[in-house]
This record gives sequence, C-alpha cells and structure tokens, in this order.
Amino acid sequence: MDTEKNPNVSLSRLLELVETSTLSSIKGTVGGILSLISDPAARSSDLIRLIELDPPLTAKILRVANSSYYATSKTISDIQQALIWIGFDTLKEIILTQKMSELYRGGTPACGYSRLQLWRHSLGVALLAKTIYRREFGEKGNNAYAAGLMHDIGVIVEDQLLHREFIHLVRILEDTPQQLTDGEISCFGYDHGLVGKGLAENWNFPAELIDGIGFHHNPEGAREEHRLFVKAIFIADYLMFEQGYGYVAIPLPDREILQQYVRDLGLQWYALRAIIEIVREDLGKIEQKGYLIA
Amino acid sequence: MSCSEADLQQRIQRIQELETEVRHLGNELRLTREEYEDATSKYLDIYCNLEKKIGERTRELDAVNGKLVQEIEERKRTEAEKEQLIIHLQKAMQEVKVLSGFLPICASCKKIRDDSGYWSQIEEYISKHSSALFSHGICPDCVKKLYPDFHEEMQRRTKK
Ligand SMILES: [Fe+2]
Ligand SMILES: [Fe+2]
Repeated sequence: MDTEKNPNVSLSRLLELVETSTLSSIKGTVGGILSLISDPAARSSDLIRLIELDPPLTAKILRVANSSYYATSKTISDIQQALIWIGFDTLKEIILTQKMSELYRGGTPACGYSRLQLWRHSLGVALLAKTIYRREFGEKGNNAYAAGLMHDIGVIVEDQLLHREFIHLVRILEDTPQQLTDGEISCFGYDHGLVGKGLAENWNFPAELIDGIGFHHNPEGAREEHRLFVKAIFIADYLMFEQGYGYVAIPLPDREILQQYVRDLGLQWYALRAIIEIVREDLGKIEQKGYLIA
Repeated sequence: MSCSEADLQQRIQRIQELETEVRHLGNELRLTREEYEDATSKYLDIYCNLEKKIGERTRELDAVNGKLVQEIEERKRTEAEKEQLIIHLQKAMQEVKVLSGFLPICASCKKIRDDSGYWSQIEEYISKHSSALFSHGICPDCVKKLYPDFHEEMQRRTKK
C-alpha cells in the first residue's frame, strides 16, 4: 500500500495546517471551557466572560437550554437563569458540545462514513463515559464527557485537511476489513489518536484529556495516573460501536480486551447494561429534538 | 438446571438489577444535590459581581435578586420531589428483599416469623410486605374436615 502513502503531509505538517484552517476557530472557546471544567474553583463570572466573547453562542445556549431535552418547565431567558436551572456543569457541557459540533458540519457521506455519524458517535461516547462516572463511581464525569466528545477529533482533522486521502482510506476499509488505526498507519504513517494528541498538546488541553484522546485505542500507552480514565473511554467507544453508533465499517477489536478493562474498572455487566439503556434513551431524545446538529 | 433453580437465578438477577438501579439513582441524587448547592453559590457569585458593577442601581438589583431567589426556591422544590422518588424506590427495594429471602414458617399452623421474632398469620404477613390482596374461600379437603355434613350433602348432589 506504499503508493497510497501521503509523504507530503507528515504529522507535524498536518498539525501546522490545523492552525491555519477553520478548525482553529474553536480553539479559544474550547480551550477556555476545558480549563473551567478541570478547575474545581472556577467561578461563574469566568464562564459568563467566556460566553460574552462569542456573541452567537448565547443564543445557541439558550435554545438548547430551553429544548425539551432539559425539561426545566421554565423559560430560560438569560445565562444567569440557565446557570441556576441547568447548573454550571451542564452549561459547560452545552458550550463544549456547541463549539465542537461546528467541526462536524457539511461533508458528503461516503462508504458508510459521514461527519454526522462521527458526531453522533462522539456524543454517544461522551454520554456513556459520563454516565459510567456518575452512576457507577458517583463522580460528576465532566472530564469523561469532554474526553468522549473529543476522542476522535483526529478523525475530523484527517477528513477536513486530508480529505481525498481520507475518503480513499474509508473505501479501502470497506473492501479490506481492518482496524481504522492500522489503515491510517499504512495510508498516512500515523493514526487519529496521534493526530488528536498532537492537537490537544498544541492547544494546551488538560493532561488527562490529552491521554484520553491520544490513547483511546491503546490505553496501556497512557500515563499511569490516567490509565483507568482512558480505559473508561475505550469501553465507551467500544460499546457505542457495538450498539450501532459507529461511523465507519470496521471490525470490532478483540472482546477479551474489553472484558479485561471492564474488570479493571470494577464494573459489572448488568450495571453497564442499565447504563447503556439510559444513554440510548438520551441519544434517542437528542436525535428526536434535532439537537444533534447545531 | 431444575425449574426452581432457574427461577432462583432469575430472582437473584432481578434483585441485582434493582439494587443497581437504587445505587445509580442514589448517586444521581447526591450529584444533583451537589450541583444545586453549587448553583446557589454560583448565584451568590453573580450577585456580588452585579453589586460591584451597578452599585448605584439598587432598585434594579433588588428586582434581579428577587427573581433569582424565586428561581432557587423553585429549583429546591423540584429537588425535594426527586428525593421523595428515591426514598420510595429504596422502600420498594427493601420490601422486595423481605419477600425474596427465607421465610421461617410454622410446619403446623403455617404462621410466619418476622425479623423481630413475632409470629403472624400468613395473610397478615404477605399483605404487609407485598401488594397482594387475600380473598378467603375454603378448599374441598377442609370442607370435609370442618363441615362433614355439608360435605356429604355435596357429594350426594354431585352423584345425582
Ligand atoms: Fe477512535
Ligand atoms: Fe471512537
């Protein structure tokens, strides 16, 4: 497959291209939100200041906050009200989701791949990872949500900036079933984990998130202190693919790895099944309300 | 696997599911409560900032303040409703447990012993721990024992 390699665009070149492309338009707001998410002492005034820097964002936030998905039985007409009714954490999630969704607009579906499918997959992984943290570990799971939402950001970078080669790869995957990462390495010389990791580092994302994005296909490569977190993202990614929330035609990796990570996290299958049901329901609601694409 | 063993397995599974549900909802509730408290403190944060910014426009500030306090009260009520739901579920869970364990029953009079050592009639016990209702009748064997004359009369009639 050597002839299909793209020697012109090395990983570092690709990361340079990101900075001059429209992808970088989300950098400021996303970076700001991520540091608010990982800072337990963050103040609501910081959040409000951040929103004020991006005027179209306020209207979008209010539209989502008033959608029946959040069912507050209450018309929310300003950010302060949103803060009280849907909470600081949810508000941060809405903003992150809104900004990230901008990257997944447009594009034409090809061979079972589409940006919409990739976005749907990302939302699913975010919700599943967060719900595992909330319901099983009794933690807020904001970081898990962020990592789930952004874990495949490398794929959208490839789609946007190496579009022709990427669509070519998607075709190859359909004809010769293999892991996406293997296909990427033979086509580009790197995979979307590495691309995402590079972007996350350049944009100064929190360390846990860098590992979550970079190692979601091989959690063992992550730093020791983040390994369990990355395994949770791996589990959510695997299960969403299995549940039909994938975005490209690939075989699922060895199930024994999944079983091992489920054990490592001390999770029970009946508890996971209950969580998957909740997430499926949530996603169904989101799709129904047309909140999927902003 | 025998029939009753399969049945037992099924019950154990159901209890695991219910326990998971209660544990999950308990976690959700605690997190929601924390988030609510957080929202309250964030509100104070906004309030103080607002105060700094528009110190002279007191009346307007009071209006905003009143509105936000009302919001918080309303939010508090919604939380209270959620808590009721969880308590209800936890109670239901306990009842399920009571009815699914071993029941010590008297071999002769069929009374059942509860946790505090009190022996009660089976109907009393079951009604207390489940939503089943009893409707009293009498079976043919007991008719024979308790009302022999009536039993004979019935036998004669059916023979005719
Ligand atoms: Fe991935
Ligand atoms: Fe994924």
